[in-house]
Amino acid sequence: MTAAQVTGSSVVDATSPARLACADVTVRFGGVVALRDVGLEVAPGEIVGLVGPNGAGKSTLFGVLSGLLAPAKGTVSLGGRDVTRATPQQRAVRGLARSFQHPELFAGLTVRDHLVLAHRAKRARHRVWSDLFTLGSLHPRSAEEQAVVGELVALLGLEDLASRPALGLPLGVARLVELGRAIAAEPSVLLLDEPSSGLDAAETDSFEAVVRRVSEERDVSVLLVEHDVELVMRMCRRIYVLEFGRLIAAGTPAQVRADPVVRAAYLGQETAGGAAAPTSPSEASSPAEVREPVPEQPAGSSAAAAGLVVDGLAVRYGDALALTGVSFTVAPGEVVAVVGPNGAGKSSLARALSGLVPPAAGRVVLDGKDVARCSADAIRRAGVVHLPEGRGVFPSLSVTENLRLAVAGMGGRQARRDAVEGALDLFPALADRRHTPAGLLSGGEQQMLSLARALATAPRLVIADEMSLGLAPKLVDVVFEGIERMRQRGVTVLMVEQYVHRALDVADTCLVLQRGRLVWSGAANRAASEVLRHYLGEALPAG
Amino acid sequence: MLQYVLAGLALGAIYAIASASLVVTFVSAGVLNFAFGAMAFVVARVFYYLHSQQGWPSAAAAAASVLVFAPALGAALYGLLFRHLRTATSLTKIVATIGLSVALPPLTNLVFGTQDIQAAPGLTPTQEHPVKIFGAPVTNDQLLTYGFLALVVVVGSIVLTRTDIGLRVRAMVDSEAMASLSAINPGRISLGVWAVTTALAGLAGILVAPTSGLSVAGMTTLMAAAFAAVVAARLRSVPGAVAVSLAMGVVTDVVQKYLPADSTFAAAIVPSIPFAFILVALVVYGVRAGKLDEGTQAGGPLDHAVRPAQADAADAPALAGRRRFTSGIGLLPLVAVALLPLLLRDSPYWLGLVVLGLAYGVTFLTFTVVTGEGGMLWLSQVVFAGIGALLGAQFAVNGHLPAIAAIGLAAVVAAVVGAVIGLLTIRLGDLYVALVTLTFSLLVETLVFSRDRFQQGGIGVAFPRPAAVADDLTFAYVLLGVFAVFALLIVNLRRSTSGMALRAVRDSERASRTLGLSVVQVKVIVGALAAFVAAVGGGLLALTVGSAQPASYPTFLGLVWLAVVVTLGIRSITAAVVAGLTSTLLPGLFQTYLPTRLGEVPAILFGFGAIAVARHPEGAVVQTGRQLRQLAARLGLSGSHRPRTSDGTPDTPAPPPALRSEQLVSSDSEVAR
Repeated sequence: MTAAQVTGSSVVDATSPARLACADVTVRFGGVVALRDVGLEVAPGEIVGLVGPNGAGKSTLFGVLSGLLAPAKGTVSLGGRDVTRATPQQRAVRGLARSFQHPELFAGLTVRDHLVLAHRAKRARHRVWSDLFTLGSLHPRSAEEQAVVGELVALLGLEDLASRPALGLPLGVARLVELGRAIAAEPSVLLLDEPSSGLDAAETDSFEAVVRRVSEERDVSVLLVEHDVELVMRMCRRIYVLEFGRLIAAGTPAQVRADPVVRAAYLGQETAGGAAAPTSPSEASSPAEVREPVPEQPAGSSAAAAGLVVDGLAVRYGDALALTGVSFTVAPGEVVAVVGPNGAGKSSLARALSGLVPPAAGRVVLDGKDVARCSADAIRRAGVVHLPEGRGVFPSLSVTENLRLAVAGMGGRQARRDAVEGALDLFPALADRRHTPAGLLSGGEQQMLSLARALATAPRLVIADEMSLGLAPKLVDVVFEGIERMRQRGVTVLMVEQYVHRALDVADTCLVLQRGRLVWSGAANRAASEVLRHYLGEALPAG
Repeated sequence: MLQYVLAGLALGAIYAIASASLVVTFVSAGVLNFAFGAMAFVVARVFYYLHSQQGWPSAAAAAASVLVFAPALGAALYGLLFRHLRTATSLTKIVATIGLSVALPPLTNLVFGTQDIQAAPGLTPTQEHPVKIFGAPVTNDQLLTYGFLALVVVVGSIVLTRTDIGLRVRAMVDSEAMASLSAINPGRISLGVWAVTTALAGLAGILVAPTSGLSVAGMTTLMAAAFAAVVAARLRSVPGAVAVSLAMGVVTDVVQKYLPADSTFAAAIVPSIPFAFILVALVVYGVRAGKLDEGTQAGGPLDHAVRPAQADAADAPALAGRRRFTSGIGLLPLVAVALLPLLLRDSPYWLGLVVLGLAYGVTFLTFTVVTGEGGMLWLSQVVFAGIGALLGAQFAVNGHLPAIAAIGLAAVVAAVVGAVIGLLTIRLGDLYVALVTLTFSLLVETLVFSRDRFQQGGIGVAFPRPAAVADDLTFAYVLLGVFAVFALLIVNLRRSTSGMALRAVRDSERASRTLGLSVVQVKVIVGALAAFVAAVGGGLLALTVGSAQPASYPTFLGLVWLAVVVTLGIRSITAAVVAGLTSTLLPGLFQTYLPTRLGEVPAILFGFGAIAVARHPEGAVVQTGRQLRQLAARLGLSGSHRPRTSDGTPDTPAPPPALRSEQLVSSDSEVAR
């Protein structure tokens, strides 16, 4: 199915002009294509969902729609008028409002002032500067403004908190305030970016209720990006599905749920034809073969693999609880796949284990020693290698320098040199570019370097976070071969993966995270159906 | 010609050492060091002490001060201050290092005594057998300077590119989070960087002392020139900074060849060369990119992802001045201030100090406007105060205007200048704004304030008070009246749509843009208003003492003012007047009741106060109010106090942040802030 066909299957009544529409939107970050020829439409008063696995390009599309990102190609129109070149401010004037994945409140203003400011930004923009000369603070607030703001405060149920500064509001309230601020600007189209992430069930319900009422009573169109597919299926009449920057499906919730392409996308199965990952030329040409390790590899599995016990782990970013009450045990040499929707806390788990973020509570016991309060460099010296999400390399250092840094802790100059050469032998593509700064490598080569950095040392526990994200299929193979190699050396591996099927093939056990909690753990070969249930909701058609 | 080039290269080499040191600390430790001049001064002073006062041979004295004392100083300052600054905002970093620059020199004077040093020795005996290069004479000092730059460049690049240590430093520049994942201890690397760069600062200070004087002013000039090179190198390129520094040195000396000696024009051109370099760089970058920001995005995406959690764990306070103040306690200091002149009416000495303090209070409101509300860190407010005083006196004397009208007219001129500065800097990041205004301030000080029309041979222009307010008690209440008017203006600004929009943009620029808010005009207006306030305050200061002296408005004093205001609270109107009174009464107390030796202590305290801002950005006035309340809560007067964090176990929901202690002080009263 091509993108054009998908758009054609839209159920929008052709006679009413779309409030918000985009066509052929393409965005590139360096060599990576984040969006390719994406088009969608939102009709008046309609709530439309946009879903897709991690890294599908949903937030990028939001950036393009709201004007914070310029597309390489394509058009955006608002109420039938082309706004592709308009600034965010101009789009706001024309009726676009949005929320952010991480709420961006004005910490110094009260809850009510958020609404007042948004209202005036819409209705009395000149007051932003004219107030300075007219002693604006002494003017009584206009009756109209008071009525509008008062009504909105009531709608949000924030009467008790209206005079509180926004600093330190709990996440659920912060999302409501952000929603209220957007509504106060009297939009015709509302973009909501992951509004339920980090909220508990009750908070999600109240948020959902407000959005429904606003859409019905104020005739606001809503485009909803959300990882909680069940919520999207409940709220939306139509749903678009993105994968690898392409639209792979569109239709009613039932259609989308039954679509085999969508199910495959969520499990990361490679499907033939149009839904395959985009392949940038530089990555396609990279050799994907990996040589067998040289027998006298100094980086062999000399050090024993580490066992890990995690008990009651919690992680907090500011006021947002990213992870709570996570407990599990990993035996030495075990390979664990950590899966879960966007915002489930997978990366936070990885970061807490490697000491990058201090846990708010809980224990992390590595071979009998609690390392939860240790610094990242101390945990690294204990043999834990964290390959972070994104590109885990130093962009301004050359390939060799990156590897030298990785092995700096090894004893003996000759041993270090051998380890670097051994790692380069594993990845011939890197050996050819050993003096190139890592920042100039292609995405796949950077990921190879990241793996090589881990393999060059003798790690005891490797935490690999989304290593295959945004890579072409051949390079994904390289990543999984790298993981498999670690496994053969007896290294304990904890991998966060979006290619669920492939991860489960390699893994012994699987952890499913959702909303910061561990919701399922068990043998990897029994995990696939569990994962689908948690990703796409309970009501799955058979098969 | 060659002679000028060679001399210029020597000067440029000193600038180069200084700017390289600044860039290295900025890229690897994340702090642009406004205390650079003060640190250079301290090390140079130690060298002078060892060499000239203790009679050590120069090599031994230089080795002891640069290789032993300076690294120890850098390490100590890292432990005390810099390590707390890593995750701070640009504004906090600048203010804290300015505090350090205010505290260090008097601290040094406290140890070594305050005598003026007329001639600082070089590292080599003076004028002994000048060497000739292609017929042009070169002093041994100049040769040595070339040598030091070559040494720094060669050793520096070998260490950075060939050694493991250098590799680690460069890794830190790329991403601190990634570095720590590679078993690098970021703290240890930062400590090393500070030790080495402080040694370089000291070296530059010792080298520059013979020509520009072993004084804070001389070192501040060195720092400003180095800043110009750093800006031209966009804060990040060491080779760029070195090249620009050399060019600047050469231009400075070659220009002198073509200027008539002894002319005021020549005296004016030379100090403005760094400013010209900054201006050219800003125009070039501005035209090319449209916007110049120091990049709050330092580090990689991983660093940004983990920063909130780390900041939370470190219990770093949130951004400055967010807390509000309850009306009762907030108004109390204002009432006390209003009664102060009456209480002290019988003592001319103390009443005089109070009047002066109130004039400072009016002046300090400029910081409340531009930094507290506008969020712009301008280091040029002292120049606007100077404009109010000097220009006001000119208008009064030459234009025969009444004093009040003269000050008002001068303030309008200052407001126009402020608006121009605002327009020029509107697209710049916080750090660039601070750098540009600092250089602008130095430029006006050397270019305009030094003219004899204002100097009058050093005594300044007489600027007597009108007869009606000649009496100190009356004048005190005039000042209080002016203060009240400005205070109301600020309250209006804060509560109006403009104030809300300013805060909104500061808190989240992305969200403001998607709401359609633009505060460009507001920022320009706020800049003009702040300049106006400063000029009125400066004029009133001149009226208080009866004359307008350029020497009363040096740039460095502006930094001290800022330190005092920030110590007490940059966003609080009350704090401005308390700061004004503190800055006169505290030294008064020390002079009256303590030995003269301790006369420097108040300045040291103010400096430390500004440093403390790294921990408590709200300032002392707000902080004290908060502590009083916490004490009350602990004594059981308020039952709702709870400890800040819970253990976060899954069954116990975390207490809503609403119950955090700092929130308990929140209320809606805004007048009192």
